[in-house]
Amino acid sequence: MATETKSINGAWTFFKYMAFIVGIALAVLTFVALPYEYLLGHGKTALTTAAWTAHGWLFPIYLIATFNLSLKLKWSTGKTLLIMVAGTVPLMSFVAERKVAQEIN
Amino acid sequence: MKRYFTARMLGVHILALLTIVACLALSRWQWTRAHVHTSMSATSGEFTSLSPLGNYLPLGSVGAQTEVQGTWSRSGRFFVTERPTHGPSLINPNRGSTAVVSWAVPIGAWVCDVLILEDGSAIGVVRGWSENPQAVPPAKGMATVAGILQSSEDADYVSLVLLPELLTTNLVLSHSDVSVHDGYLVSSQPPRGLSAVDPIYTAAPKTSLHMRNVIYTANWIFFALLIVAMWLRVVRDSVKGAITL
Repeated sequence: MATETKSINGAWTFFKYMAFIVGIALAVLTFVALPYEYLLGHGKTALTTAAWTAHGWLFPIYLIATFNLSLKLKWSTGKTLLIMVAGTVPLMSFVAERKVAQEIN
Repeated sequence: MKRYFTARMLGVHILALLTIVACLALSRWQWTRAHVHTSMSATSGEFTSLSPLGNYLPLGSVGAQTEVQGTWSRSGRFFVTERPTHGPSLINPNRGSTAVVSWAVPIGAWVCDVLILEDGSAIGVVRGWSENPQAVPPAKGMATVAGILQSSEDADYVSLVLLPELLTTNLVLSHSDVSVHDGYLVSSQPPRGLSAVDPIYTAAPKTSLHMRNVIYTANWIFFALLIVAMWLRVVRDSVKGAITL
């Protein structure tokens, strides 16, 4: 059973970091980059494009991390999808991370 | 075999297939969005033709000088509101550069009419700009209009600060009883009481790829592949009894 705990721990750490990174990235994009581009009228700049693109690749890694953890913790498909979708709503991935942390501990 | 097609498993199959199709559709959408008209070619657009009815205005005709003859439609008058003097100063054809909106310029409307051509088709004409468009009498009778052809305005070119109404072929069509040609014509000789509108394109635009959308295209394909991987894994594990759906 020790190896199983270890692999759950690994999957949990992976998920925790990804939820944090994607959460910060999406929050910055939504509350800083979007207003900068559209409210201030700067349009698509090289920096904001780089930021959106980076998020575009971080998010799939978050999905992989979620899927990986869902297998280890034997989540239902619905729950897995819900946690994945949480990553698309600004600040929601922090909530998802808290919920999963409660389950783990 | 039956284990692969229980009621719950069918649900998983349908969900997986639907999301894969959705991801591929979104990928395609991003790919079309990636093609943008970023800059104008150095040479002035040589007129090829109005758009064939039901087709897009050929890129080579965008920004081209042309002259059309016809009769003004009786019910074709409409306004495109929230436009500064000379029009496109809040339109930004060079995406990536700053869209400048000067608050000092007076905001008015483009005064548009529909011109019915000799073959019975029609085209939308921006006749000019006015701060008080209601006061401008609708165009009537026969006319020869010299102007510059434009493609439908694209929300991506426009600063969202003022959220202006866009002049699109659909807008022209909604004011016309007959088929309209794609795009619109910006009259070079506005009638009295109207000032001239600067067209967005004075030469044919060049198409280039917008990197952000190219990468999003790849993202959506990646999502589709991820769903395939998850699908296979869920099916395998539930058939083995390792998970319950």
